[in-house]
Amino acid sequence: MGKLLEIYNLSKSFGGVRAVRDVSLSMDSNQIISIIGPNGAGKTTIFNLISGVYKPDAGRILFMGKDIVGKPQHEIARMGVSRTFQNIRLFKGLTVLENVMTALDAYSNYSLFSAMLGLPHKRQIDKTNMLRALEALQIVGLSKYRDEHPTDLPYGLQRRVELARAIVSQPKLLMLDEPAAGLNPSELAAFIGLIAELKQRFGFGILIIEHRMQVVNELSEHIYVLNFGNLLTHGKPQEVCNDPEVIKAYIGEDSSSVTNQKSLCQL
Amino acid sequence: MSATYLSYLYSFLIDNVLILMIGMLGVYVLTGLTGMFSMGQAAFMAVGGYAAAMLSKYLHMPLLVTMPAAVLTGTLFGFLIGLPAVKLRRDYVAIVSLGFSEALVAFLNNTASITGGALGLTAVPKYTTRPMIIVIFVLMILFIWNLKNSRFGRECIAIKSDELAAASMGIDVARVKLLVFTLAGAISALGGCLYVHTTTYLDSAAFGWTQSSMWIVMVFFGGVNSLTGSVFAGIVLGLIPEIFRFSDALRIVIYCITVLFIVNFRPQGLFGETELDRKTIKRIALAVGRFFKRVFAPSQAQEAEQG
Repeated sequence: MGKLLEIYNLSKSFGGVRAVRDVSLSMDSNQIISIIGPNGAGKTTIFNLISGVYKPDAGRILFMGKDIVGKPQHEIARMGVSRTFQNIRLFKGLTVLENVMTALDAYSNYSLFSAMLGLPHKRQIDKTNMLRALEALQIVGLSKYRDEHPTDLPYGLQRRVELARAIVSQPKLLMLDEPAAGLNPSELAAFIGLIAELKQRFGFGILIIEHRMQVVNELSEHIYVLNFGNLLTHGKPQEVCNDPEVIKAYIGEDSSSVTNQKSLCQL
Repeated sequence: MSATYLSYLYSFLIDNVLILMIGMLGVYVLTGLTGMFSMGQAAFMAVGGYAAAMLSKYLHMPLLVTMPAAVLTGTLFGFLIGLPAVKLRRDYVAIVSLGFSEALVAFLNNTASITGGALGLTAVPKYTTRPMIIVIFVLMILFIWNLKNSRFGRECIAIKSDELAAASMGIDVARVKLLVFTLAGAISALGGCLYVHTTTYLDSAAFGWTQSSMWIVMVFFGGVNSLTGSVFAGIVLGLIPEIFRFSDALRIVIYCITVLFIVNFRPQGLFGETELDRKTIKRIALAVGRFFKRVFAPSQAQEAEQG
């Protein structure tokens, strides 16, 4: 079976900082993979390299067997790669519903003239897209906020709008950048349930960057650990969070007293 | 206020304000929706105006030819200026368009044999009537309203808000920007065509950067996302200098104070993001209903509120 995403020896530097060094990774569809690591380990840079925001200095990225290095962002997105952002990036000036519809607009194929004249087939396409967007909002439980402006919503709900916007186009690869940041414990449990349900329902591959070990341990089948741009190790959640190297990267060098009592699995 | 004064204001509103506002609609699409600053949008109006003027004056073409020709020329120029502009950061777009408009005015002034130069072109045939201007104006508003409520409108606002996020939604940012630049050129050129066939006179000085910046002021005054706001602001700001004509020195001061007041106390513009659509009308109707209830049947209203 072909892999959904394969990354070989990916490297990227910003000036003198080598943000990502020689990282390789692979995942199947219908699989949840997590990337963990301390702040500044290069996790978000990997997302930006996959989605085409940055061009890698070296390495290959294959999405469904096709090399996507050097392709513009919108083309990669249209191939079925969608993402959320660490610092929420919703569109100001559009309602919640319109924000979600925007993710479908790139696939609508009516012309400027049918848009300006409001021709029937334009209205038909927009209506279908609106229903799909409403469905996505319903999945994340935001139906009643459809006409609100996202800036008026609390932080946790804004995250869910972003999630709805990312899943509405039914991507093949969904990348979530710290999706659980700022959620309280009960929201967190609901969120984990939601992600598991999404995977079940749509069967897309999910790549998660996360600090909260609860999310990582409960959801992911495989974990990649980054530190200072290097791939430290990867494996099943149980293996990874008991790995002394990983604990050292997370908690620090001289912390034998702490690490004796706990592994990352309990954090 | 005498009847002659009112009828003068009416003719000024149609012949001058509405026509210039068609030019402004180009700025609304470009700056209001997409967030690109064009400091030279009036140059596209000049392009359309000169195309229509020369075709009708020298070749005696009817409006049915000059209008499409003006729009086509505007489209072409919009596309050509847009090509380099959309690759730039948005603040540089302002400089590119400003450069284009100043270069165009200089070009017009130096080709006096056909364009009339600084003296302008006179005796251009008058083709327009007031009802015609109103119909075209309303149609343009309708088209842009539809555009705003289509995928293009959403893509434009998305690009204005966050280009990176827009691209990651699959939006081809450069393509949409070029499309908008071209469309804005076409719209402003249409305004130019109507302008020249109404005033029958055209000179390059009318289309400098002051006109362009006036349009930007109007769009921001009304509220950048709101077409209703832009149209309202266009009419009000267009009429203010004329209404206060009796105090020649003061009218510009009044204009500036009005603008400063809005910018200071309502930075999101008069209308913000609100449009006069079905939802807003319903909300207003409900509020008016509540108000009347309170005025005419205060006890009932109180009971209703408590219950």
